[in-house]
Amino acid sequence: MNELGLEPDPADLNVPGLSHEKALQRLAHNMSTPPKSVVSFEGLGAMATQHGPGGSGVAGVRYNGRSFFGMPVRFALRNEWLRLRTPGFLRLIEPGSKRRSPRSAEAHLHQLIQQRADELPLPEGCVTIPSDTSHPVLWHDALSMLAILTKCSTTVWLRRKMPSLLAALEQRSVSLLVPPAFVYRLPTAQADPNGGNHGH
Amino acid sequence: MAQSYPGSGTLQRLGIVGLATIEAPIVAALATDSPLLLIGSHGTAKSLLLTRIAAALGLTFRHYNASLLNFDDLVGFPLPGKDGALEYVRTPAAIWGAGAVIFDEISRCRPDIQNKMFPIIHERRVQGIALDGLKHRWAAMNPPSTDDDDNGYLGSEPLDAALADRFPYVVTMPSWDEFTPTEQMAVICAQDAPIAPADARAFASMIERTRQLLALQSPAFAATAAEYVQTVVALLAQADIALSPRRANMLWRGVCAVNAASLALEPEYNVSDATLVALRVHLPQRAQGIAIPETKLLAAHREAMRTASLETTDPLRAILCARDPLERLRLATHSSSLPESEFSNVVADVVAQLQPGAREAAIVHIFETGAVGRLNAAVAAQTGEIYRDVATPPKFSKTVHASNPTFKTWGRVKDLLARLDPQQPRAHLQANAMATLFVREQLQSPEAAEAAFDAFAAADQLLRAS
Repeated sequence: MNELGLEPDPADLNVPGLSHEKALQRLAHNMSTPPKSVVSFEGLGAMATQHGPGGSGVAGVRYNGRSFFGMPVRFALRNEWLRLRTPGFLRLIEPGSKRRSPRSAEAHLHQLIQQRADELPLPEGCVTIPSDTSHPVLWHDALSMLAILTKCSTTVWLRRKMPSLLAALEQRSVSLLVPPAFVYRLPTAQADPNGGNHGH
Repeated sequence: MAQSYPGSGTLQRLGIVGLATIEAPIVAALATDSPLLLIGSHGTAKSLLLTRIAAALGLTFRHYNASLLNFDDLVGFPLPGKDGALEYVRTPAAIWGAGAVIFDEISRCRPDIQNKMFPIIHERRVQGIALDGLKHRWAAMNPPSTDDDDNGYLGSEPLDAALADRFPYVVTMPSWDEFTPTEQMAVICAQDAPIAPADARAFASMIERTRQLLALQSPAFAATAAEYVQTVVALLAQADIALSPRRANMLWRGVCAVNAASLALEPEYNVSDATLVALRVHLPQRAQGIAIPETKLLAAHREAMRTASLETTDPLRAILCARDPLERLRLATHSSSLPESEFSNVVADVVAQLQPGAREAAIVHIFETGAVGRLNAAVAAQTGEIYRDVATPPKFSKTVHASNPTFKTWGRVKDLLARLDPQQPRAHLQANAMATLFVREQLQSPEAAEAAFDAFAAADQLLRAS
C-alpha cells in the first residue's frame, strides 16, 4: 500500500528484472517527482548526433564543429628558466651583456620585452585559454615567452600592458587564442631547435 | 564635491527661506518671461513664492485654483456685441489685463480646462485673442500620484505630456529635510511681513541684470551650450529619458539663461553646477510622475560637460551622440585616435547596455578587430571572459525537470541552432554564444532565447559590414 493508502495496480509492478519491492519503490518515485531530462552541450561536436525526436518532440541537429574559433598558440617557460630572475633572463637573452644595477637591469629587460612584444605578429590583444601541450608553439626563445607571459592576466594578453616578471613565473604557461583574421600572419609551427622542454 | 548655488539670499529678501538651490532658475524664468511650473508637497511655499514675486515686481496677477476653475472664471461671460461678434463681460477675476497668472493645483484640473490653458501658457492667447500685458505664466502642483509611488497625492494626476512640455522651467521645491537647521528655524519663526521696497527693487534689478548678461553672452558660450545640449539629450535618450526637439531648444535657452542668472547672483559661480541646475529644471518628466534616476542624470551631465569643450570634429562627440550602442561601438572601434580610457568607457557602457546575444557579438567584434588591445586591463578582462566562452566551445551537462521552463528554453535553443548552417564559421560562434547564455541562466524563456539568437545575428552582421 502506498502513502495514499492505495494498492498499486499489479500490472505496474510487473517489471522484468525487478523485484516486487524495487518495482514498488520505482513506482513511488515516479509518482512523487516529475520526470527528468538531461540536457547537454559539448560544443558543436556534441550537436553532431541526431537526437529524437523524443517525448519532447525536439530533434537534435548535426554539426561539424571546431575546437576553437581561431588558433591557439602556446607559450611556456622551460623548467630551467623558472629559477631565473631579471639578471638571469638578461644573461640568457643577451649573453655577454654588461652588468647593471638591479633597477637598470629591470628597465632594460622591460625594454627588451616590449620590443619583442611589438615585433610579434599578433593582434594588439588576445584572449588567453588554459595551455595545452597539443597547442602549437610558434616561438621558442625566452624573450618571446616573456613577451607574452609577463603581459597576461588570467583572461587576456595585452601588448601594451606593463610587463611583470613575477606574473610570468607564476603563470608558467598560457595559450593565446588568435582570432581567424590574424592567423595568416603567424609563422608555421616548428620544433624547438634547442629541443627544449617547455613546462606543463 | 558639493554643488554650489549662487546668490543664496535673493529670495530670502522676499521673505522665503531655503530656496537657494532654485534661485537661479527662478530668476532665469522671470528674466526670460518663460512659463514656470513649481512642483512640491503641500506647505513648501509654492503659492507663497509666486505671490511674493508678483508683489515684488508690482505685477497685476490672477491666482486661480485650477481644480475649481471654470472657463468663465478666466474670460468672463460671453455676450453678443453690437456687431454680432462675441464679447466677454470682464469680471475682476478674469484674466484680461493681468501681468502674471498663477494656475495653482494644475494637476487636479479637468482635461478640458487643461486644454484651454495650453494657448494661455504657450502663446499668451485665449480663444485666439492675444493677452496683451501678460508676461508671466506660472503654475503649481503637488507631486503627481503614480502606480509605483505610494507617496503621491491622491487626485494630483500626472500632467499631460503636451502640457508639461509647455513649461520650460519645471522646478521642484526643496523639502524640509533639505533645509539647513538655520533655515528650518527661520521657517518656524517666519512672520507674514510685507516686502520692503528696497528688497523689491533689488529683486527687480537682479532680473534686469540677468537680462543684460544674457544679451551680452558670447556666441561662443551659446555654441558650447548647444553642444552640451546635443550631447546630453543623446545621453539621456540612451538612458531612456527622452526629450522632445522643442525641449532641446528650451534646454539650450535655459542653460544660457540659468548661467546668466547665476552670474548675476554670484560672479564666481560654477558653470558646470549652474548648467546641471538648468538641466534638472528643464526635464518635464517630473510633472508627469516619471522619476529621473539621479545617477543617470549626473552621468549624462558630466559626460556632456566634458564633450562640450571638445572640437566639433572630435570623434568622441559623434560616438557619444549615437543612440544605438552598436553604432557607438562601431564608431569607437574605427576611431583609432580615441584614448584608451575613452575607448574603454565606451566599450564598458556598450557592453552594459546591449541585450544578450548582441553583447556577445559585440565582444567578438572587439577581439576580431584587435580593438581589445586598446582597452584598459579591467574592461579587457571583462570582455575577455565572455569572448573565451564564445570562441571556445562550452561544455556542460545539466539536469532539468521536463516541467521546468528551462527545459522549454533548451528546446527552443536547440530549434534555433538547427537553423544554422554548420558550414558557416560564424554559425559556430552563434551556437556557442547561445549555449553560454543558456548555462549562465541569461535565457529565462523560449522568447528570450529567440531574442538573443536574433540579436546575435543582427549585431554580428551589422558590425562585420562596417
